Amino acid sequence: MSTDTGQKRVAIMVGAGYIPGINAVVAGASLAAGKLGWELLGILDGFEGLLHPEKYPNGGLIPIDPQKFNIDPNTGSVLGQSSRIDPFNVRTINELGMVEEVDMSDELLTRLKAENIDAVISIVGGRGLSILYQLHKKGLNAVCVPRSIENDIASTSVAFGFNTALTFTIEMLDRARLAAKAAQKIAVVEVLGEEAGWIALQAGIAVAADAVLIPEIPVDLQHVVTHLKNKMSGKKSWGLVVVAQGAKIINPGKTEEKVSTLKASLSPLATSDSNSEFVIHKSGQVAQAVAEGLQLRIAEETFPMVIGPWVRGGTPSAVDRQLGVAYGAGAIQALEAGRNGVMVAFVPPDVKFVPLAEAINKVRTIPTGSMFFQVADSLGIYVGNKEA
Amino acid sequence: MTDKPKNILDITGTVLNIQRYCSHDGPGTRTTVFVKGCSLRCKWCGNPESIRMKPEVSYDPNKCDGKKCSICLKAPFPEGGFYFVEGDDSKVKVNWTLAAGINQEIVSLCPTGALEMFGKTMTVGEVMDEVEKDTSIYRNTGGGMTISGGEVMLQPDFAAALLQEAHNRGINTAIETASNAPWSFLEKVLPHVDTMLHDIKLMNSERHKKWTGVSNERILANLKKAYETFPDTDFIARTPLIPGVNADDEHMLGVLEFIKPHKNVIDYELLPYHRFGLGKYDSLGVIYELDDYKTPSDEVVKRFQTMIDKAFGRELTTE
Amino acid sequence: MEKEEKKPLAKQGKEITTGKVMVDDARIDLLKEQFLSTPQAIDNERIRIMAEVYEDTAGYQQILRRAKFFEQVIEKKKLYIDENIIVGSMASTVNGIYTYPEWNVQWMKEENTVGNSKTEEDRKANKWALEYWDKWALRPRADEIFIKKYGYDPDPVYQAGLVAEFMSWPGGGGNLNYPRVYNEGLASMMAEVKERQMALDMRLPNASKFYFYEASLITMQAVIRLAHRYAELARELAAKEKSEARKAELLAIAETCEWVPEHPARNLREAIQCHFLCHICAEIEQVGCGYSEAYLGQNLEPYYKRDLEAGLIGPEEAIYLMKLLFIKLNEIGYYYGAKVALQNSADLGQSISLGGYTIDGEDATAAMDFHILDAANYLHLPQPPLTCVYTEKMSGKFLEKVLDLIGTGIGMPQFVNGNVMMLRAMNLFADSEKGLTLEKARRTCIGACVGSYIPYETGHPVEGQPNLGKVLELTLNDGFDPRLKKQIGPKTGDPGKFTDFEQLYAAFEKQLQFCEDTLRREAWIASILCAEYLPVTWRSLLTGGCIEKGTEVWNGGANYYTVAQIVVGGIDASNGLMAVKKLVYDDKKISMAELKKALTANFEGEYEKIGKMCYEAPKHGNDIPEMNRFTRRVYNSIYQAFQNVEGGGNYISKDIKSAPDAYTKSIHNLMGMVTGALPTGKKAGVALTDGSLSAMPGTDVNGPTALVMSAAKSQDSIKYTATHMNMKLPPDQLKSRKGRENVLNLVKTYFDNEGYHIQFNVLDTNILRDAQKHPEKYRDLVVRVAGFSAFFTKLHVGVQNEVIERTLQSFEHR
Repeated sequence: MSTDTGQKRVAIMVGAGYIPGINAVVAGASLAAGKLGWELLGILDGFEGLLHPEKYPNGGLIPIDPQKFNIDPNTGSVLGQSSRIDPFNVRTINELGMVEEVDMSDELLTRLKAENIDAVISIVGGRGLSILYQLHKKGLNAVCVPRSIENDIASTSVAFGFNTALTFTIEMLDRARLAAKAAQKIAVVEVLGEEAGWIALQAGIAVAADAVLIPEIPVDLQHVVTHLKNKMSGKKSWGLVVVAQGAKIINPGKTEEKVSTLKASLSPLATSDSNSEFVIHKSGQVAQAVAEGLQLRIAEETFPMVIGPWVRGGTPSAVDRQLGVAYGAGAIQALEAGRNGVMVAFVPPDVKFVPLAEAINKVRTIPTGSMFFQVADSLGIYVGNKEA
Repeated sequence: MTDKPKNILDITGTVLNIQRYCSHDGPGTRTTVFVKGCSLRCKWCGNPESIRMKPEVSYDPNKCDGKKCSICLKAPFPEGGFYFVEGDDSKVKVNWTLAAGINQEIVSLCPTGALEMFGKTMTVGEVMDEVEKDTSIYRNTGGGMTISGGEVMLQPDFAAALLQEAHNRGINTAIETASNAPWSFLEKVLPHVDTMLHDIKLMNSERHKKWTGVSNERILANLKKAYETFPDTDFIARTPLIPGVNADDEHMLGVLEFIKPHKNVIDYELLPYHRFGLGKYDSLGVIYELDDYKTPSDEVVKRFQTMIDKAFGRELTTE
Repeated sequence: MEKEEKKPLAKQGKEITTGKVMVDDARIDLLKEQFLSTPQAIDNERIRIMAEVYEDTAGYQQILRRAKFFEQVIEKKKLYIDENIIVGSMASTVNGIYTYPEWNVQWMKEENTVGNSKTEEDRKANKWALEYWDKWALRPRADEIFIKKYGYDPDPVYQAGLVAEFMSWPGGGGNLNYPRVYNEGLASMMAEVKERQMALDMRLPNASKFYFYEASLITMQAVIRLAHRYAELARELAAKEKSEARKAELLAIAETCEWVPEHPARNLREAIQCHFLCHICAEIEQVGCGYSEAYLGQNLEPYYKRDLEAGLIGPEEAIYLMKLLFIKLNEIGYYYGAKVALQNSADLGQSISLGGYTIDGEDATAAMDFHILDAANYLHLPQPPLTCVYTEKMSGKFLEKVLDLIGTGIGMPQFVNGNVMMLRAMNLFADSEKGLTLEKARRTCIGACVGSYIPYETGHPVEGQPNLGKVLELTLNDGFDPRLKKQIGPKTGDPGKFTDFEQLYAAFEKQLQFCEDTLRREAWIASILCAEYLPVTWRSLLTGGCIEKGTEVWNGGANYYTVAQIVVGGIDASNGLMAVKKLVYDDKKISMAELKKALTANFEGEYEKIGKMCYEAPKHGNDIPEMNRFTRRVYNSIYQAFQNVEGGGNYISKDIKSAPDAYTKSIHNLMGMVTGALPTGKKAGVALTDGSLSAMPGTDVNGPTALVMSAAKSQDSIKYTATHMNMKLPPDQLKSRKGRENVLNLVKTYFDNEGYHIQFNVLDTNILRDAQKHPEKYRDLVVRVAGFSAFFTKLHVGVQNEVIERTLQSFEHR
């Protein structure tokens, strides 16, 4: 309950898995709250700690003391691991011993009330934003901190986690590049980016890759081949192709396993869509498909590599650590300013509070006229669906 | 449930789909009735649309007319449930979290049929009229009707009525079940079943709980009781074979040991795991928990198959 | 057929009270008990009336004379109304039987009907009948012509049991067009007939037509009169009735009979009443086995549907009405002496066809077909025999119900193959003068027991039954019958001198030809006599073509004809010849002389071993390719011998294609009694093999699939107008899902291979044996005999034993 003194009791939770910088957000919030004399509590495992306190020896809700809090970048999330952040679909075993999902959003709000928690800070990505928005509409005071390694959350230029991933990806691409050169082969490296090609493009530029394939621009492999052949004419007989996980390939070498009629009828996305673009849903598959597709058309040996899961751990970069702390503090500032139902957005040079309703359903993709495309073009990196 | 005895043709249930010409769901060529709702949450589940009992919305972007329609962006469709991304308004996108509560009535407003419901309420009569169409092929192949899921035991009254009516119409019956239900449910359904295909996903109870959400004591107890109570029913045990979950000798031997004393368990089938469900998780907005599971290698499958054939006294000639 | 479907149903006025019926199963039970406890008894009423009026009609053209006699019987017969609200009966009492001396009086002499008459009046009548018909009856007159034409007396052939002739007693046969009567009404038919009669150009060739139309008018008026007499009786009884409920019931009967068959039926009950009155009139005109009911349920369906919609009745009422009708059908009987009873087991063959195809080739099964099964399942009576005309399009639901009824053990329904019926009809009738449309071919139905033909327009003259067991016996004895100690067949050589099997087979074919020649030639003479002396006007009116042509059915009026020549003992001949081939010629295990000695000794004493060898020789029913081919050869020989008689055709014309049936009724018992030991291992006096494709009892040891596959390969089901197979299954066969599926799969497999007919007996052998010992406990035990079902305890002990000994076929169980 908020008191007349303005003292608040705020809880912080995190959705899905670990992203480098999470603990910095918690630290930022903790320090900012401490300065205001507010109390900050951490909910373990998404909302699980609150919905099922009996499962936790410490009650699932832990006080976060700014005096004792140590911004240790290497411990993993201090708020647990759970991906169960959807209180509208909480998996339970009913009285008949059968598993079912139940809507526990009311219980969640009741629990928060019982714990005298005035507001919740949520460190969430795309789907989490929608859940928080729903909870907000049910009366929850919520402030969201955007988390996205792929940097595809609209309304904020940089989400924390992205910089660490980018840095690591560049390092790995450098190694792949050297490996390709040494082996005189073409490396096809899959990087993160289901919806947006930020990591692929920025990292590709940084290492001067030969081609970058991103979700924003469907690509014809024949064009990639022509480009590679042009570049490799003469003495160079190796190459580096960067592929974002969500890249759209028009004509891959082979298609995904055929799905049965039943499955197809139930699952519109199990096959290619109307533009006959090949949509790949599984980490590692696009690298495989592109490598095989290229191999059909080019003499030099191609080989796939996947960076994907590697970037999900590790120490945050300096930028992300600083961003994290700033986001954490920003969230407390928003609450202090009486804002609620907002997402903290970093739009250099300002920190802004964007209403959740405006933040959801938007993906931050690379705009058509982005200067990154011009840079790539001038470096001789093939990025788009055009004749090389 | 009302106390008044109902004409069995009028009993209703939630049906996902009726698929004709199925060849792997029991003897002969069959029509499989998929019912909705499951009592397990196997992490590898390939049929996410069958998991929840209630009908759910599905979306086929191929049919969407995009911006020029835009009906789903306005009420009564939920706010934020459907949207366009910048630069692409040819197809609407779905926010599965916000679109979740949508019902049949609202879905039917979609003029192109891009939005549909997974699962609809059907009467036994309606289902049987569809199933009966292939009567001739059942007669020619020894086939019939199979109820699959989801979990058939979640709708015991509906399932019992459906199976009974199939028998009334001279149609052989089979069910596919995980058997995680109270015995009283099985007891209702099984008298009308000719062949029961049942999963034994894991013999180890703790691991069973880890991978499916529940422990397996009741499942195994149900199976044993079913074998003993219904000696004339054919039982076929099955395991979805997933490396890292259950593709090991211990499981295989455990299952063979378990079914061995029961002569009415006529076979043990392996279902090598295939990732078919992926697109559907996307279209339903369900998180696919088992992200990177491999299909078991041919060698592994062959090895286990040999163990099974030996247990069933089927000598195979080596190639 | 088409006609009846196009016609709109008669209006159902609001004031009509006859449509509503009250279900009362206690009454059904009562009526069933009345039927079971009332013994069948000869009713001399018909002969009394005949004695009284027959001389008065002398001088009329014969067809008018017969019509007037029919009219007199209708007018003078005593009527009764019991608790059954469907009225009508053949004789004056429940289970009373009329006799028909016009065909033959031999049995009357043998059984001393005059001496045994209970009243003076009866004695007088019987005496008259005996004297009059001794001179004029069909049988002696046919013999006289035969001897004159062919130079030998056929009687020893019958005495020996080489042929069972059909002219000593009237034959039924045919699915008469009762639907036309309840759809159109007799008044309308009379108008048509009158118009045709008046339109005739009065010259000599039209004279017979004029007389036929005249007889038709008399007959139809008589049928209407019968209904009106029942109406009068009902009103009379109602006037005296104290119970209001019964009074209303009687008035409803009166109202019904005042309306039908004169006018089109207005509801289901009237249609059924009309159907039965027409049927009973056919039986009165000329009783016989095989007045079948065609697709009764489907014909009644429009009435049922309309009553259902009008809220007059529901399914229960429809079933109730069918039960009432079925009891009535059981109360009909005939008697021509003990021998015929043995031959037929008094089956009436009032077969109802169920299922089949519509004229458009769809599944024709009607709701009323389901109700017919329900009624039969409740009653468990031998009549009417039910046939499931199986098609691939038949619903599983109906088949389940069919299996339920078979599972009760009453051996009904039998299954026949709709596709074979269709092909057979095309084969027989496509080249006929009338031609055959696909639509008509699809509506082919069961006539009599097992055969099939086009309903409502087929004449069905009877010929007789050749005994192939006897043919074999004669072959082995150079035409000499060991039992009568008399030369019966031609001298075809001493088989001991035959050097190879083909010589024996050639002799067999000669004996067979002699058998067919005698049988058909005499049958044709009898039929020609019938056309002149015993015309059947009522039957003709209900047989398509007769009214149009102005010609009575025996005189060629019908659009189509088939014959009733029922081949018996084909399997005995085939099994027997094969045993001789193997033992004597191929393997040379025994000599012909030894075999003949063993046969003479009836396999007794030192010859028991040979009997065993014979019994163990290859047998039909085990799917042995050589055996299958051989049986087919025997059946083809029979078919050929049939066609060889006078260049084929029937008694009317060489151009009317005809073919033999092959089924047995229960004559396989009678014929077995007169046939000696056979190389099959059969002993003298023991029944022959039933059906045409059943296995010799106990010899089909390779399971049900071997039996049906043998059957499918061993006889041309399309060329013959019937094939016939019985199978006995364990009593619990139809209790499990698997058992039921196995049976249906077997039927389907058999039919996919052009099998035509299969029927199942699922009764417990122990029960049957107990019933032989304690018949009083099993009064209503109904079993399948051969193409029909009958009360077990009323069967001849030979038939009982044969039913018990049929091989029990079982499917493997876990």
